[in-house]
Amino acid sequence: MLHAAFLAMRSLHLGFFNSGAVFEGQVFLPFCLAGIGLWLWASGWDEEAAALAAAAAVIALLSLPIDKGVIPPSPKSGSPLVPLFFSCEIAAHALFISAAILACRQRGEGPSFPLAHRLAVWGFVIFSAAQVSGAAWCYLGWSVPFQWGFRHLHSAAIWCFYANYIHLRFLPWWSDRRKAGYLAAGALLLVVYLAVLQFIEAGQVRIGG
Amino acid sequence: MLNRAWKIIASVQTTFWLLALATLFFVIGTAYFRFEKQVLPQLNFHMVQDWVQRLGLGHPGLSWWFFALLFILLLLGINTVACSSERLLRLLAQYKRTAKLEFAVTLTPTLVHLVFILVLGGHLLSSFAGSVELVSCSPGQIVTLPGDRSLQVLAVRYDTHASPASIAGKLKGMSADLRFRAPGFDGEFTAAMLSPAYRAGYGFFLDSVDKYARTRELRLVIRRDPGVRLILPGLIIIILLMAWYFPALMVLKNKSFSKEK
Repeated sequence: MLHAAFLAMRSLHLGFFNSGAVFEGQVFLPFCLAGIGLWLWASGWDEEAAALAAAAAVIALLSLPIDKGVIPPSPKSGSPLVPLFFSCEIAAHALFISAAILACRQRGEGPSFPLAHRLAVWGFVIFSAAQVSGAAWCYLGWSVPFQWGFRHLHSAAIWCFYANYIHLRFLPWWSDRRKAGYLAAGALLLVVYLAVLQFIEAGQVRIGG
Repeated sequence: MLNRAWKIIASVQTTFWLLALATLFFVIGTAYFRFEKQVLPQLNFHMVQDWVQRLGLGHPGLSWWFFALLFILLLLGINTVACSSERLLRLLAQYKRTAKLEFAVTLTPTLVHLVFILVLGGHLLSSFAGSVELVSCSPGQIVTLPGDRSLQVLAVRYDTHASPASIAGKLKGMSADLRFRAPGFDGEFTAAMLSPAYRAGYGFFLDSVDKYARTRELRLVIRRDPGVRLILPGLIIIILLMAWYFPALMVLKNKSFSKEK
């Protein structure tokens, strides 16, 4: 609840509603993780919810050194596709990380794994929706639906990785334990990319913070 | 022999390895794009075959992963066609014996894969067919283009935020009034940032030179892109099919579970 209030205040920091201030990885990712945790807690998955709450706290702590200023809207961000893209992308990241945590808790065994699988599958669907809105935004702003650059290649890598995960159920040699390892590798790849992106986007002008 | 080759081409195991390799080469690509800012980013302003001739072949140390990635994506396309068509034929043969919901659910992944092929085909068209030209955009400028065409920048407008004080004076939007002449076309129109104009088969995209549009320096990308009509609608169809498929699959599983009970 406190985090939601913080996001609401952040969105109004510039004196008007600015969705870009909400849908930034360092503030929205812990919120999504906490949201998934709350949903699990409400559904009776107490231990799993606690694991996600811990993950949300760790990511929130790791985000502390990042500049907290708000990126002002730019001529390239004035499209409804922009909040759609960022909200879906970060929500999908949260689902991928949640899936990895739940899958690894009991090394792919026990009742957590089917839940982790569902989170990964929905993460893939939402991540694909992010890629569609991102492609449309990129087309309007940069003339192509796919740009050759770090940001787009990283998205393509993540998409291919989880598209491959969806296919694992057809391969009998992929036990649940191995799939849990695969989900962990996906979350690791994601976290490395998110860390590198912080350096790349450090040059953005921010107000306040 | 042929039978065995077809089985390998159409197998999910092949899909697994191809997707794993595609992931690997995309990851390698991100590392190259992180540190190389001259040769590789030019891919965005050239057709692939032009880039390969002018830059790619001359810099094998930078472009090897790109060629490998293209090859893997080509194989992935072939694998997807083979795997999906085989499954489609098998499913169509079962049409009359299967309940409607079950048939629709089992058919959906195949449809997703077939539309994915369309999207890949669209990217192929975008990368190899069509054209791309980059011109700077300042008022009064006249650019002569190949094929008896010319582009004149009549005016450039900068829209700024009036309030609140935190962002007053910062750029809000940009647009350019243009006059384009081509065989059979002579017209004036406006292209704005995030709102391209389409005339005489070309798209006119106003772009900022600065990545985050913090400066007023503008350029125009003039592009003919036959692939985008396949890519964007194809992606939307894939999302809709997936958004329908997973809940429908759960309904189907619940139904069969309650029947077993």
